[in-house]
Amino acid sequence: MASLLPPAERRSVVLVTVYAALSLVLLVVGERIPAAGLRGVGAALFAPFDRVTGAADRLFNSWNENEHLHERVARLEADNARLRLMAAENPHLREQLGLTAWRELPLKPVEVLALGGGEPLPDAATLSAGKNDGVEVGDAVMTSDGLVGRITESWGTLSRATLLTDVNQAIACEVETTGVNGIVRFVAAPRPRLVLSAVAISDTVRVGERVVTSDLSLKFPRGIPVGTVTRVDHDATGLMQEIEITPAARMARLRHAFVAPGPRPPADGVPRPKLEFEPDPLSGARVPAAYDSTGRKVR
Amino acid sequence: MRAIGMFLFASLVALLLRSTVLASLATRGIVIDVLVLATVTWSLRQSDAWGATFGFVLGLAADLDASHWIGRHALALTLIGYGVGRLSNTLVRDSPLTQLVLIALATALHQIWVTAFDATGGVQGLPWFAGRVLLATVTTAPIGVLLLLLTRLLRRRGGYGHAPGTSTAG
Repeated sequence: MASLLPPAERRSVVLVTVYAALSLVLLVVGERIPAAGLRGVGAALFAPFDRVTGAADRLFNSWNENEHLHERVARLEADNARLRLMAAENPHLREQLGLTAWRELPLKPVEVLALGGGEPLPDAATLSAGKNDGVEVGDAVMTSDGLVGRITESWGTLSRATLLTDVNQAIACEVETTGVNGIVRFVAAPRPRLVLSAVAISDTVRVGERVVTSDLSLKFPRGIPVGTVTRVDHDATGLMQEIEITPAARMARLRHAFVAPGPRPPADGVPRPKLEFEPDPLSGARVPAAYDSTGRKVR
Repeated sequence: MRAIGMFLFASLVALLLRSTVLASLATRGIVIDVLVLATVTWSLRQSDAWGATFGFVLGLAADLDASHWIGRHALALTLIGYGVGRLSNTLVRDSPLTQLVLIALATALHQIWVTAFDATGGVQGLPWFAGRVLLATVTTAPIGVLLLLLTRLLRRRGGYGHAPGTSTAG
């Protein structure tokens, strides 16, 4: 039997051929393999090591971060005092306009254990909370600065978030001040950047304006900051605008994040957009009345 | 048994570095191709078969971590591991210059291959594409050589077990 085996050199050639063939097969059919379970096992195996490495990294950066956070807290306290005054009058104004009350986002703090996926920019993150902690697929992941991504896989005590830097991620967004709608996606080439696309050429968008998640989004709650407009240009067709935005969240410093529950899929599994004036069952806000052309109430 | 232990340890360290410290650096634009670094180092130490196996396992783990294109790292790193393993029989592996050239070449090839999957920008994307490959090459190669030198100093001997440290060039 041993005499049938090829010599050492030929054996290594056979080995490499097998590996290469296997890799090629995976390249073709890899998308159909249910890799989520394998990733879950990998995440669980690596989590203790990730925690240790992360702790060392945090310790190393804690001095600078502490200084930065102190400055930020001071700034936010001043903002908060001003916003509290506005928050007091906002419910009255919304009630007069017949608008639904804002629903507060319940945020769950999580630790970012590892970044991975894409080359060279990471496009996924392993988070320290999973199904057991109420983290579900579809939940939004954000930092105090803005949106980071979305939960795409959730296991027992860990979960995986797909970041804004994933080329397959598309987020319905709007320009905060004007309400201009568009879709934010990551473009890897000719250079990596976040782009607000599908904005009509007639819409006015200016550099410096903030882009937030839209109410039209089926995946994300409304009003989460996504980025700031840095460049406005036409797309290749010349019919739409291509707006470059800088992400609000600092992707290079992802250590802690928050998970906010996204819209849960309906029982029949068919996603549908929310009605414009859908009453919020939590707040009991009334549905605004509609009027016909003569001014009579129709519902 | 010791070799398998080293194999697992090296893979673990490379993957951990890639998902923590190096991922943060990458978002700041500093790309260090630790997968290539580990594969080349391993292949210089071991034979071509071991180099290919290490490259395949490490690449597969990196592929599973990504959501798309499973197999792209595995294929590239298998061939790099095998190629470097073969060359290590005929090169002066202790020479920093040899190591620099090998790591630079392997990094450039790996980066070109991996970036090609994301290249949708046509000719306009070429400068960025070239810049990315160049950046990864010029950061990875010197760091790799330094690490190899440091390892040798710590071990106080040539780290390459399967042949004399100063084999003749073929």
